[in-house]
Amino acid sequence: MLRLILVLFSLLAPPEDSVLELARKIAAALGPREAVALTVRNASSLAAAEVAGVRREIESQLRARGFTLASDAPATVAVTLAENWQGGVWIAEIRHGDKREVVMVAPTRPRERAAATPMGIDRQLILEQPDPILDAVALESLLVVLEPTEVVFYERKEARWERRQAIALPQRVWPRDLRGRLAIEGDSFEAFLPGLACKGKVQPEPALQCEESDAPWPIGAPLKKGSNTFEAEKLPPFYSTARVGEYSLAAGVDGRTQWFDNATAATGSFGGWGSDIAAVETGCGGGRQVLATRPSDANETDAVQAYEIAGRQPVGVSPALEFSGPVTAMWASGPASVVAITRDLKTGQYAAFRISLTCSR
Amino acid sequence: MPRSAFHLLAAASLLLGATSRLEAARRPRYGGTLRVELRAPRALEAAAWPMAFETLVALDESGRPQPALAISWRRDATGRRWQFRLRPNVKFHDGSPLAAEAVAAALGGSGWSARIAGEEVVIQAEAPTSLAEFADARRAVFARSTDGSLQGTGPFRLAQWESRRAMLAAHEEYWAGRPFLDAVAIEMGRTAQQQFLDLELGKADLIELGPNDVRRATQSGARIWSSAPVTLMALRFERGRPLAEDAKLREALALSIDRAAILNVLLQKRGEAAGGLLPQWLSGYAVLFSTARDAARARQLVTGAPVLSLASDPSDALARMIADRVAVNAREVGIRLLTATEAGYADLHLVRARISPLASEQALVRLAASLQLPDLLHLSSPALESLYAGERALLEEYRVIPLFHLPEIYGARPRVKTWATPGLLRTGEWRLDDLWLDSELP
Repeated sequence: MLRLILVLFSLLAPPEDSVLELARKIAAALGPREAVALTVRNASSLAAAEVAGVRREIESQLRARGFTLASDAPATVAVTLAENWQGGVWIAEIRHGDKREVVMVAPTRPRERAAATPMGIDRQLILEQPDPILDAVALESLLVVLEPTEVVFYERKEARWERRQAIALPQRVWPRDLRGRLAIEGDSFEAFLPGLACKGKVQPEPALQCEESDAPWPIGAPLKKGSNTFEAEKLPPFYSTARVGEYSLAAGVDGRTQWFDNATAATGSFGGWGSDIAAVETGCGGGRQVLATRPSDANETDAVQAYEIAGRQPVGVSPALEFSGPVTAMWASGPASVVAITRDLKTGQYAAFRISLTCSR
Repeated sequence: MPRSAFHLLAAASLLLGATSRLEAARRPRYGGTLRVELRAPRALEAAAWPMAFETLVALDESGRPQPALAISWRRDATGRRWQFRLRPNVKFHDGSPLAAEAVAAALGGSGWSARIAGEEVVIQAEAPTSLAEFADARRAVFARSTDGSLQGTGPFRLAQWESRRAMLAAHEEYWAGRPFLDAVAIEMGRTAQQQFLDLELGKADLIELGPNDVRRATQSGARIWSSAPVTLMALRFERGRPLAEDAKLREALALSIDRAAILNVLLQKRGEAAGGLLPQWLSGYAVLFSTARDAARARQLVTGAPVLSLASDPSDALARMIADRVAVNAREVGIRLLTATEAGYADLHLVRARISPLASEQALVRLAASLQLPDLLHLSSPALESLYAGERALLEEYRVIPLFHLPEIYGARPRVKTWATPGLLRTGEWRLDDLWLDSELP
């Protein structure tokens, strides 16, 4: 708890260099060791606690330079904490009689804080980076990450992943909503991209060979070239599928999830899910669940929730696991877990998470 | 999943197709034509140009230059010589590859000379140049094909171009991926009433809104897109007119205007009262310029019973309403302001000036030029204090009286969806290449 408080405090703390610079400029505009009346106005997105911190620091810096602070002093310093599209703009108007001087500094904006993590369905961060991630597979001591331009191999060094090698993919004009998938078996792996299939080795030295291909992806159907949907014979395009017992589900381009029963061919559809779904085998409840994203625009936050199918309708069996941006990909990564890739709306960072369900809810 | 299972699903989807309600999906769909309707005064060229023609770098939502046609760059110590490495595999709309020769040919001139050095394009500028200037739409890269038509590299190509309408078609080989939309159809010169009708009848997907149209658009089910305030509305005095040369009268008029009331009533709080030329989001120091009315001080400055004529664009209904309101304010301090549309005989003009989404100093220089204010070559440094001092100096004679900073506002049908970037950037620029069209609810 103490550590959390310290972290929060460090995020709230004002950029000290900027305060020093502003105090230096104010002092230069004032006479030596004057009494000054200081006001601080917030016209920015800074929180009250941050503004109070800035004020305290300015007061401290002015006192350290020999100035006396008094509300009725003839010299006034009016500080406005403002901002423009590139960051903060801190302004000080110094008035002494008829003399008016304006000084400014441009502090860097504190790093945005990530959203809180609710509990009930577990996630584990695998990797976070500024470059887009299409898929990530973490083994015991090896992490393979598929990016739009390369396959990157990481080695586990103590508690963190260390980049070992990257192999470039053939250059292509990719679809705007680029999708990619990894499949690893033993020392071999396959990477699937629209119209491209690659085979490679992860051990002893990573290697990769790619060729034009419309081969089916691990879900059993090929991705339509130049698009973001899978296609199968006599089937409308779909984004993802999941198999739950006797049912198979497909997230369609119309925003509805269609399901069918192999034995009876009885079919139906329902709404309320996003376009990424994946099945997990947990042994809990009905034994097999579907994880689904939420339907909405890509510039909104997203969530993943587990469902079971009851009476041909989805029934939520876990709380929604909220993310601070859209889930850009979600693939089954093992019998009981999926990998979800998210893009943080505030920081723009991409992150790969392993999501798993626990029975003890 | 076995193919046979998909056959079953295929049959099911045929059965369901006629009756299922369609709901929003997260992943985008490809296809469709986005129908856009605009009214004056935004020029069609300004709207469509950036979608077809690209620059070496592009400004992001925070004004920072990002790679576009160039993927890396370096400059010399003076900021006059820049070297750009071009993005590979970029194609013009006619399918020809983007070559360094074409870039050099397009960017040379207007104070720049361009040449090729190895795989890089070298720009030599006469004056120190910031990276943001390479994002200026006027520095876009284009080439002429054999039939004389202009070819760009942007996500859309100009398929049809007439005086009041344009059709943009998706660039299939666009380096950042083909747009989701097949096409964008833009129609200009539509009245507000026509636009609303078309939106409600499903004949338009995106229409331009004035500040006082937002409520109606919302009630029609439209989603509102709004930029940061990117247009300055201001009064500009005509040099040489006898009364316009009276500095005290200019100051009196500036002090007479009740911007807060106009903002609340006529502009429905959409925008900001402006005391300076640059908006707060761009400069960060606009809060230092007063926008308060001081009628008592204004009355003291007025001598006699001056009569001024104020011209505004006759096709700009909002401007006419604001001009009338300014005239009422002026009368209250003893200035008679005759509103007119004959610009040639006016002492002052109510004007709109679009603010370039560039670095603050360049935006200020451009804005000053468009308002016929003196140039700012004395701006020795891009430091904020220097910029503020320069802007203050421009305004101290009240040759231009800033009134409001106004956003671009659009109403979009719910079927218009966004992907990674919004359709309207904070800077007021369109990014229609990342839009997609959802199915309509039946």
